[in-house]
Amino acid sequence: MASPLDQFKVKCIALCGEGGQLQAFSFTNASLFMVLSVVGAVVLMVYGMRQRSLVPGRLQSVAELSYEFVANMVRENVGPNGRQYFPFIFSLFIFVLMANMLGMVPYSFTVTSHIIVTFALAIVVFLGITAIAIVRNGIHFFTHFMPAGVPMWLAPIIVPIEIISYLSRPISLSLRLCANMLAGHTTLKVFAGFIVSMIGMGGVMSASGILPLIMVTALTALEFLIAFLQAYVFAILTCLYLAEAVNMEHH
Amino acid sequence: MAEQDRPTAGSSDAEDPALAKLERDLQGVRERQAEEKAKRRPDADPRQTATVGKAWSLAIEMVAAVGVSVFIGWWLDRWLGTTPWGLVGFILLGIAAAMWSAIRTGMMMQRQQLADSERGAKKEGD
Repeated sequence: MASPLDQFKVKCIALCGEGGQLQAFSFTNASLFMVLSVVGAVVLMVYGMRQRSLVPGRLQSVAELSYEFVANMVRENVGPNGRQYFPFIFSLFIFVLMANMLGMVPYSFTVTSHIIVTFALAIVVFLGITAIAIVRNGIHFFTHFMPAGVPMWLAPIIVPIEIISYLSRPISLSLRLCANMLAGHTTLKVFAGFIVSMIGMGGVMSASGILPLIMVTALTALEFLIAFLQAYVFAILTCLYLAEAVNMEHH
Repeated sequence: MAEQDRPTAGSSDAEDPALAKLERDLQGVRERQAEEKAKRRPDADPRQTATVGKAWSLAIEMVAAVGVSVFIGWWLDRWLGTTPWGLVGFILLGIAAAMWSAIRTGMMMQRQQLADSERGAKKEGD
């Protein structure tokens, strides 16, 4: 039987080396599902909004709801200063959501279960927001590492601590998404494997295969929840970091 | 006696036996629902699942802070040749940073929860 981790294997599709070896610019199943996520998002937005009817149809409803959802998130967490960054947050949210949801299709590949993918997203967020903070606040940005009201003699301890917790943001952001997807999909496969082996026990015992089947059904529902929740968490944390960058108070 | 129970035209709603019965039935349903809610395991509640997610994110934050500081310490040691002092110092700093950020996130979650429950109480009071 295939290992539960086989689903995360990166396979070469095009531009392969000899014998299907991966090369630096190979088009892999990871690339394919990233492309599919982008295509899915574009189709949802462009095709869904093609009629622009006053009473939205199903697809238009989804497009409008997701727009409203992210717009509210940005408005509530970042405030009026965040308006111009809405397209970025929205793209991020829809991309992660699409990748997570496509990963729920049987036989598909979950891009977000690979730490390098989520880390690339997180580092773009981190560097981008740091750049925005420095451009908007100039040298004042560095007071972030020395909170107001902390006595001077604590500075040698507080400053490195603040710098470390600032630098750990991209790690925790990427790890959270990756770990959730990885753990969830592995659990699904492991329980699905139980079904096969319990049915294989033979005789009356085969009937017990129904138990892991129930479990897998429940877990699948939970996984859909997590797929949405993690995309939401990724977007809302980006909003919170952005809020710090654009709403830094000048003393 | 029976004639006294019967509603007369123009009597208030509170005396209507049909309404009183409805009120009793509703009360019964409410009690049953409250009982079921109390019996249900806390992790079956979808809102509790979100809480588990929060706990996870706290743990991941702590691990990330320590991981980053270990990397910085190791890298500084290689660069400056101060093995193992950079690593030791930065692990300690990393643990402090992990604690500090976990406490901060926890405090933020608590504030949010308080604000949510206040809003909920207000809504019920309306």
